[in-house]
Formats: sequence, C-alpha cells, structure tokens
Amino acid sequence: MNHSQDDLKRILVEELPRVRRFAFSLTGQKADADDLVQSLVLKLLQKGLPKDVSAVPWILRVCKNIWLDEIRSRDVRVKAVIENKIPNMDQDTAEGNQESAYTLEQVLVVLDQMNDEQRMIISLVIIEGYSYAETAEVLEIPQGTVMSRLSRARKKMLELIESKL
Amino acid sequence: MKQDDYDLLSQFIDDELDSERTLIVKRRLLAEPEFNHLYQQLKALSDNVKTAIPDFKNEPVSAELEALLKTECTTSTRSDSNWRRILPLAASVAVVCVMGYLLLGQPSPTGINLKGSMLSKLADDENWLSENGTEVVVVQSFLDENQSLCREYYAREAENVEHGLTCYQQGQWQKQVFAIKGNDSDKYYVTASSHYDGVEQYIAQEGLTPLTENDAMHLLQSLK
Repeated sequence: MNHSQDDLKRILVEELPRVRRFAFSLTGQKADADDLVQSLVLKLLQKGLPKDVSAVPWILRVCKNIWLDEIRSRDVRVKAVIENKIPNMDQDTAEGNQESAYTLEQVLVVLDQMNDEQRMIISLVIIEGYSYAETAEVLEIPQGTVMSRLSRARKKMLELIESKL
Repeated sequence: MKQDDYDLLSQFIDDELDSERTLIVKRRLLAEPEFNHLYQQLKALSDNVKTAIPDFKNEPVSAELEALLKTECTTSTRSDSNWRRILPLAASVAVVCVMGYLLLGQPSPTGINLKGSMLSKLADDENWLSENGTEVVVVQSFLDENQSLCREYYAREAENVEHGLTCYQQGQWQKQVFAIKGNDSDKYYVTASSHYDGVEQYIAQEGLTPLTENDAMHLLQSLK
C-alpha cells in the first residue's frame, strides 16, 4: 500500500534539501542535480511510495537508480564545470592543521574525480551522516562494502590532494 | 600507512567501531604520531567535504518542481503539523524552563546529549554507557502518526536524570519532549507534560502507537 499523493508530496517537500544534496553529490552540478530531482519526483508521483518502507532511504535509492540509468544512457558522466586541477595548498599552513589546508574548491575537485559508487557513499555517510548499515540499505550493497569503498575513497582523495602539492 | 589503518580510522571517524576497537584506536592515536597525522588528515577531509556541499535549505527550486510538489495544503508540512501539535507543550516547557532557571539556576535547553545512541545501541533495550558517559534506558517504543519510530527513554548523566521522548525524523533523532530532575527527586525543574503532578511526570504525545519489542527492533535495524 502506498502513501497518498499529498502525503508523498509533503514528505518530498520536507526532505527536499537532503535529496538535492544527494543529487548534487552524484552529478557535481546544481543544474544536473535539479534535473535529477525533478525526474525523481515525477517517478515517485507515478509509482508511489510504499507505506511499509523507510521513506528517505527508499527515495534516495530511487534517486540513485535514476542516476545510474542516466549515466548508462549517456555513456559518460557529465563532468562538473569546476576546473579539473587542484590548486596548491597554502605553503604556510602548519602540517598538523589540515582543517584550513584544503579549500572548498579543492574538495569539490577531488570529489568530482571519485567514481559514482564512491560519491554516493561519501554523500550518504560523510554529508548526510548515515550509518554504514543505512547506507548499505540505500545502495543495496553489503555493509562491509560500504566500509571498504569509503575507506578507499578517502585514501584516494588524500592521495589526489597530496599528488598535486 | 597500510590499508588497514585507513579502514580503521575511517570507521573511527564515522563512529562505526565498537568500544573495544575505539579504545585501541585512541591508544594508537596517542602513541603513534604517523597514525595520528593520518587521522588528522582524514578528519579534516571529512569536515571539508561536509562544508563543500551546499545544504540547499534556502536554494530556490524550479517552477516545474514547485508545481509538481504543490498540494492542496502546501504549507502544511509534517513539521508544521508536528509543531502545531506540540506548541502548547513546548510553551509549557519554556515556561517551566524559565522558572527552573530562576529558581535553580540550571537551564537545560537541550537536555542530555544522547548523540546517536538511540539508533546505534538500543536495539536490545538494555542499560548501556554512551561515549560521553551517559547511561540510557529505553522504556518503550512507538510509531507516531507519520510512521516515525519514537522511543521513550531515561538518560542519566552525572546527577541529572532526563525522561523524554525522541523520534527519528529527517534522518536523526529529535527530542519531542523531555524532563530533567536533579539530585533532589522532589524538585523537578523542567517538565514537559500537563500530567505533571509534582512527583511523577509523563510523556504526552498524540498519535503514538505502541510497538512490540520485536517490531521496534526490526525498525531499528531498518534505520541503521
């Protein structure tokens, strides 16, 4: 049994910032993210949202599947407009004070170089604060896979930043 | 550094380690500068990733999307209805908080920090100590009218005991109502219920459906 259309719309309105963040982390561009969210909303309004599922993980899972279908049809993912290079880190920054060492642009550039699977996990765990178990449910993969992919993604991000120093 | 170190620190940062392995990591962080340095790098990276992604809370949506999401009563979101429902309660809490501040000088606008305890640890409903030394006991579990999992709990931290109701909404546990008492059990300085009788206090929330323990555990698993 599904939620009523009005209930579904209310859930979507309430969760819209989270869904848009997730979409942005997948697409790397606000315009693409909004297109993805619009496709998601259309699909959910057509197919409905079952009452016996956790709404947000379900919505994010549908979003993920739409995106994967989209990139398969495009063959290659549309790259973000962000310039594809990492600026040098501030040479004066103390080694132990890494928090101020990365600019937001650097982080976005590095994120853009992650593959789709890694970006989805980064988005759910790091940005949305989901547990590995919740993330595994959304992405329909084992919890151990979430852990290993995220760990490797973090390692790769650090290596990308450091390789440009 | 080995891949195992990345795995361990990644789980540590995400609060995914059990207490034993957390302790191991903390000891290594104190003893191994290289390990500590890697932790600082990974932690800073996570913090910056969070900051780099816009939160979209105030970003306008396209006219098409707005039209799609328009309902007969667009302004009545779940949060609004929740808020209207608990407004009288919230008002009474505010009044008593102010009174508590004036009388006892101990304002506690947010109460005891439960952190992620409700989601991550309480499936078995046993006493436990959270990372910050807070003892939490779940009394019972409910579904609210929006099918969100809610839990009535007692939490103890130092000399304070908090009795409250928290619901899993918008991806996190949000306290709906709570009450705190200090050392002197006769002097409740915050209450959240109109049923307050000077000795006992009750958690009042409309539209709650009690869950069996099995159902609550299933829901917790699905939220994890």
